[in-house]
Amino acid sequence: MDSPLSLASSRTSLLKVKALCKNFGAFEAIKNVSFSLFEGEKLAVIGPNGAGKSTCFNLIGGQLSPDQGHIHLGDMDLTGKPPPFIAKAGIGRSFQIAAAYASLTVEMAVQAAFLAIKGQAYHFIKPSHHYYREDTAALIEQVGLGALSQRLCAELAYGDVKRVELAMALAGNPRILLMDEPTAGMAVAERQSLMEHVVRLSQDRNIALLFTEHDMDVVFRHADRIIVLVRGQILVEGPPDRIAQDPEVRAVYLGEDPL
Amino acid sequence: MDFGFVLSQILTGLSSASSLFLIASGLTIIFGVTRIVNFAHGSLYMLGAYCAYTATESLMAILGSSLGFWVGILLTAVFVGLIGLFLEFFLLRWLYKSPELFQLLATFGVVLIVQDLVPFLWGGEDLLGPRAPGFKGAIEILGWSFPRYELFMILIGPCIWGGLWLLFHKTRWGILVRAATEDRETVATLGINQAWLFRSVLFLGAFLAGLAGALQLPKEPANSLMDINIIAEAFVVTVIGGMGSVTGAFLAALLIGLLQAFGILIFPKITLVFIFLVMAFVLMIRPNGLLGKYQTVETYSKQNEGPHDLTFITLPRIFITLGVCALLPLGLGDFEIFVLTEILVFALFAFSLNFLMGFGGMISFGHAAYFGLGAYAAALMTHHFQAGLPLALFASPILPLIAAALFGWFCTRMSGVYLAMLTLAFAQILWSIAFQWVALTGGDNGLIGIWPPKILSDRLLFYYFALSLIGFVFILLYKITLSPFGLLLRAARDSSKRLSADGVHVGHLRWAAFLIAGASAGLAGGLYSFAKGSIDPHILSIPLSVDGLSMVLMGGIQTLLGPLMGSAALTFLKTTVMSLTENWRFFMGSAIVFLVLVFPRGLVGSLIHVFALRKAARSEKTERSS
Repeated sequence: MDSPLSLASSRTSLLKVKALCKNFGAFEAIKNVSFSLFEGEKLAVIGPNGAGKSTCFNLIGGQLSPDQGHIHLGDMDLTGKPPPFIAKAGIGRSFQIAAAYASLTVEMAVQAAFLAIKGQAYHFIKPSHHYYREDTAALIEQVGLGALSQRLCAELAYGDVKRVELAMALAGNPRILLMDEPTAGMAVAERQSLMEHVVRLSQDRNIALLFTEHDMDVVFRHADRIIVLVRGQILVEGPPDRIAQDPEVRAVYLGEDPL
Repeated sequence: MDFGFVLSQILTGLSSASSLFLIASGLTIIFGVTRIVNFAHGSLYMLGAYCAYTATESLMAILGSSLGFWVGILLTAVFVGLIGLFLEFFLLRWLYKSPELFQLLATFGVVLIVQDLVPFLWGGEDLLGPRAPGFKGAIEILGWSFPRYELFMILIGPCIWGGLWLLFHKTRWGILVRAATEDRETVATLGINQAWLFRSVLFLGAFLAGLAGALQLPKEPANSLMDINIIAEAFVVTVIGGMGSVTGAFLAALLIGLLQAFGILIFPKITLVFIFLVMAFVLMIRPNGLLGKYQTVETYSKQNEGPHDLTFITLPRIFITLGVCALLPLGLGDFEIFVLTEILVFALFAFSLNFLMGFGGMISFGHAAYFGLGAYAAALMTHHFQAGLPLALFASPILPLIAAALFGWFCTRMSGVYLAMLTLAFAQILWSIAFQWVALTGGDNGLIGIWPPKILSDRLLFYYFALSLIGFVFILLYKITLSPFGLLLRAARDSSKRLSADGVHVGHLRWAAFLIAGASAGLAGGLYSFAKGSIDPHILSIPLSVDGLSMVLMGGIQTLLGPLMGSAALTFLKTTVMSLTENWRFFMGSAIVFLVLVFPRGLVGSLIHVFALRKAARSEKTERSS
C-alpha cells in the first residue's frame, strides 16, 4: 500500500481510524480499514457499490458500532459511541438518503438542530421559535435557502432537502463534516453548485470534509486526497492525480464506471 | 412430581400449541405479505367455530356422523376463507398504504361488528358442538387419562406446518409469497399481479383461522368471547415468533403452549401476565422476535405530513374554548352535566394519547393502562386509606408515572407494530392484575363509593373543578408541544436517525414523552373515578384503549383541538346510540371503519385541510394577478 503521509505529514491529524472491522453475519463489510483525516482536509472515499462506504461512515457516525478497531477524534475515543455523543464531539453528518423533518418548516428544522446539539431538548415552557432566531436565519441564508425558510420540508425539492441537511449538520459548528453521497439524486448542474457551497462553507469554518461520491467530476474537482475502497478494504489512497493514473484503480473501479 | 402427570401436562401444552399455531400462522402470513396486522383474525376464528356448529349439525344429518363432521369442518374453513376474501375486497385493500394505526383501528372495527353479528345470527347462548367421530373418549397414559381428540390436535399442528412449508417452498405461488414477505417492492416490479397475491394470502390466512375455530368446537362450545380471548394470545405468538415467519410462529406456539400448561400449575392466577412477560423478555433480546426479519424502515415519506392546527391555536383562543366549555352546562340536568364531565375527562385522555402518538409518533394500543392506573390509584387511596380528594387526585398521576417509566423503558426500544403490540401487552397485564387481585381491587366488581367531598358533590361544581384542572393540564401540554422538547419530539417522529445524528438521545426523549402522556392520562383517570363514583377493570381494557384511539382519529390526528372534538363526538354517540339500541358495537365498529376509509383526517384535520386549500388557492390567485 502507498504511504498516505506524503501529502499531509506536516499537518495534525484530526480523525484517526485504526484497523476497523465490521461483519454482517458472515459478510465482511469492512476489513481492517485505517486512515487519518487532517485538519481542513477534503478527503473522498470512493469505490463500487457495496464496497463498504456507507458502512464505514455509519461506523464513524455511530449508527453502527465496529466489531474491531478504534476511532479517535483528537484524543477522544469515539469507538462504539452512540450518534448523539459523536455529534456533540464535533462530527456533523448527512445521510445518503436525505433525512429532514417532513412536517417541520425549514426554519424549525434548523432550529431543532441548534436545540439538539446545544443540549436544550428538555426545555418545556418557552416556545421553541424564540431560540436561535438569528443563528438559524443566518445559516439558512448561507446554504442558499433564504427564500424557502417558511416552507415545510416535505414540500421541498430533493436538492433543497439536501441543503437543509447540510444546514442541520453545520448547526453544531462541527470540526468534521461527514457527507454520504452529498449530491446523489440531484441534477448535474445542481451537484456542482451544492458541492461548491459545501466546500466554501467548510473552508470558511475550517471544517475537515470526509465524503463519498459517485460523481467522479465532483470527486476529482474537490477532493485533496482520495481513498479507494473495494470489498471492504482500502485498495489505494493518494492525491487525485495519482489515483486517476493508478492501473489497479482503473481496472477495479474506473473500468467499471469510466471517466 | 409424578412423571405421568408431567407428561399429560406436556401433551395438553402441545395440543393448545397446535391451536395457537393455526391461528398465528394465518395472522403472520397475512402480515408478511400485506403488512396489515389483522385484529379481526380472532373474529374469523370465532366465526369458524359458529359456522362449524351449523355445518356439522346439518351435514351430519345428511352424510352420516363421520363423513358429515369432517366435510363440515373443511367446508367451514373454506367458507371463512371466503369471508377473508370479502374482507380484503371491501376493506383491507383500501388500507394497504394507510398508516399502521388506521389498519389496526379498521380491523378492530370489524371485531366490533362481528361481535354483534354473531348473537344476531346464532343467538346469545353458548353452542356445544358434536364430539369428533373416531376421537371420542380418552386413553390412559401412565395412569392419567387423556382425551383422544387432544392427541389428534397435537398432530394437526405439525401437519399444517409441514403443509405450509411445502406450499411455500415447492409451489410457484408459495415462493412468490415468501419473496413478497422479504421484499414487497421488488416483487411488485417483477410484474406479479399483486392484487391477486394479496387476495389469495387473505384467503389462506382466513382459511387457517376458520379451521382453527372449527377444530376448537369439540373442545369448547362456540361462545361470544372466543375472539378477544384468542387474539391477545395469537398476537403474542406472532410477535414472539417474528412477524411474517411461519416457522417462528410454530416455535413460539410451542413455547407459549407449554409455558401455559405448566404456568397454570405454578402461577394459576397470572398465566396471562406470565405470557406477556415472556413476550417482553423475548422482544428485549430479539426486537424482531425469534425469526423475524421485518423492521420498520424509516423512509422519507409524506405520511407524517398530517394536518396541523399548531399555528391556528393560540393562548387566547384556548381560553375562548374553555369559556365556551364553561357555558355549556348551564341550565342542564345532572345526567347531561355528567356526560359533559365525561367528555372533558376523555378529552384529556385523548390529548395525552395524541401527545404520544400524533406528536411523538409512538402508537400506543394500550393507553387505557395509564388512565386505568390513575383511576385505581385514586380509588384505592379513597377506599383503603380514606384519603380525601386532593390526596387521591395527587396520587392518580403518580402511579401511572411509575408504570410509564417502567413500560416506556421497554417501549421506546420498539417502533411501529411491535410497539403497538407491546403497549397492548402491558395494558393486558394490568387488566388481568386488576381482574384477579380481588382483595385489593375488588376484582370484576371493582371499587365503589368514590365520591368527591361535599363541597364538590354538586355535579355542576364538580364539572367546573374538572374543567379548570383539565384546562390547566391542556395548556401545559400545549406549551410543551410548542417548546423545544415538543419540537424535537416531532422531529424524532419524522426522522429519529436525523435527530440522533444532530445530538439528541431519541430514546430518552421518547421516554420523557411517555412519562408526560402517562401522568396526564392518569389524572384523567383519577377525575373519572370521582365523577363516576365507581371503577372496574373495564377502564384498563382494550376497548377503552380503542375508544381513545377513535377519539384521536375522529378529531384528527396530530391536531391539538382534535381530541376534544373527538371525545365530544364519541361520548355523545355512545350515550345516544347506546340508549337506543342493543347493537351499539355494530354501529361503533361501522363508524370506525367509515372514519378510517372516508374521513381519515378527522373533524379538526378536515377543517384545517379546507382552510389550507383555500389559502393556497388565494395565494395562487394573487401570484397570478401580480
